[in-house]
Amino acid sequence: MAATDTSLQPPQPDLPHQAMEQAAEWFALLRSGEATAADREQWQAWLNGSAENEQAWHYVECISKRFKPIQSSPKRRNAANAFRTVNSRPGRRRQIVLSIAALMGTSLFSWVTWRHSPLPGIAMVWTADYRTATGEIREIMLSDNTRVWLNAASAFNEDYRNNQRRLHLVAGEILIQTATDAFRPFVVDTPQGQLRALGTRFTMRLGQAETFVAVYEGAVEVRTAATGTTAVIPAGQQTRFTSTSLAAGETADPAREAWTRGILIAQNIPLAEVVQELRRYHNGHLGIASEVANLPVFGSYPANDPDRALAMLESVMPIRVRRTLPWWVSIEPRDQTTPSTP
Amino acid sequence: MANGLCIDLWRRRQIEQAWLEELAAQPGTLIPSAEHQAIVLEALQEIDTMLRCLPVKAANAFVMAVVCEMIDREVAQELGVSARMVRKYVAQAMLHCMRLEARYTATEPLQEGF
Repeated sequence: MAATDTSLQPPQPDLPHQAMEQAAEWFALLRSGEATAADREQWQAWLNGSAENEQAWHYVECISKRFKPIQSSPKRRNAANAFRTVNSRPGRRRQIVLSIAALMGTSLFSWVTWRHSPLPGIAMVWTADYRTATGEIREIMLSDNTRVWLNAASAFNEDYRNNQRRLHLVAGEILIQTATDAFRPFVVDTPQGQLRALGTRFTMRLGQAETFVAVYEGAVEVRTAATGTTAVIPAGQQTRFTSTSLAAGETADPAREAWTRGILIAQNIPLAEVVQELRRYHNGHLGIASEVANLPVFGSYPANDPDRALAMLESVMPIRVRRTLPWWVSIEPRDQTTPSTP
Repeated sequence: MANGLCIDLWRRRQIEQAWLEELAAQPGTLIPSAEHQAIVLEALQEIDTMLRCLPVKAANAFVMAVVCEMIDREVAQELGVSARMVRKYVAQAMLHCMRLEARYTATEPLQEGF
């Protein structure tokens, strides 16, 4: 049964940026404790101003609804405290590093094709504004609503000013979706050169002595550091460059973008819990035998492609994934008594 | 709801742990029902998943403002930042959540300009 590859779908386009941003700002004002009657009138006028504003506000209400169960609880203060406690806990990243490091050499990670650049200097990475550890992937929203996805063991510095938006890619790989800003160009620096965004969505990866860039929406202009050679890379193309040379463009590999969508990271988690998460994406029955429910799982798996995740699990654990009907899947211990054919 | 995000089971465990510790630290007069605790914990996990891509201070500010319904001035005092910063954090976090929500529900495709 061929696994459906859901990782290559284009991202859902957003509602008009302005309406969404304004809605969020109105929300922040109205609940600040400082809103006046005049403010509320203006909000009402804004809301009635266009269908887009109404639609954007609808999302504000959806989000607000999600908080109801916890708002009405006498324990909400405790919940907020628990949340803050977890956010302030140190040492979690180091735990991730310890448990995943052992697996870096295996084929478990081949579908994501992480390639590590030698770190330019541990200090530069550890003091970078944003960084991820081995096995960690993060999505970050910058102050102008530009989104950056950091792949594992990656780091970048943010240098936003009044007249420019600049990032310095220090290690690894990032996917960027720029937000519109009429007044400030968006630029990314690497040791090999500079990249100016002429459009929206692209990845950059720092290699040994080169930078690799793939563009998915819009276009970027690359300029090499030493020779100042420039080229425009349009959507659907990728290229690599050193400080002196710029390779010819080739077709962009969609898989490079796939890692931002739906990755399940497990560090010593019982198989039953992993299966629980996969059930959220699996249509039909997904059962697990009690004998294998507690087997520890390590690694990263495509959460939104449960068939592929199960195939990966089956290849590294003593389990068998049985499909009596296409949609009836059960996970059992692998039959040890079956004689292997010579 | 997790397309495009990391489902970090370790993180879920951490939140559950912290929640249980918080409850345990309470003088044991009013103990909420197990069902109620589960509902609150689930909501907290959802909120954490939505917010975990934000800087820590923004996420904390948002949770205090929206979950505990603290006004900007109160949140500012707790976090040691200005009330203006709190307003910015709340707007930033809300926009982030809205975009996630928009991504996973059916919407009319609209063109976003460069």
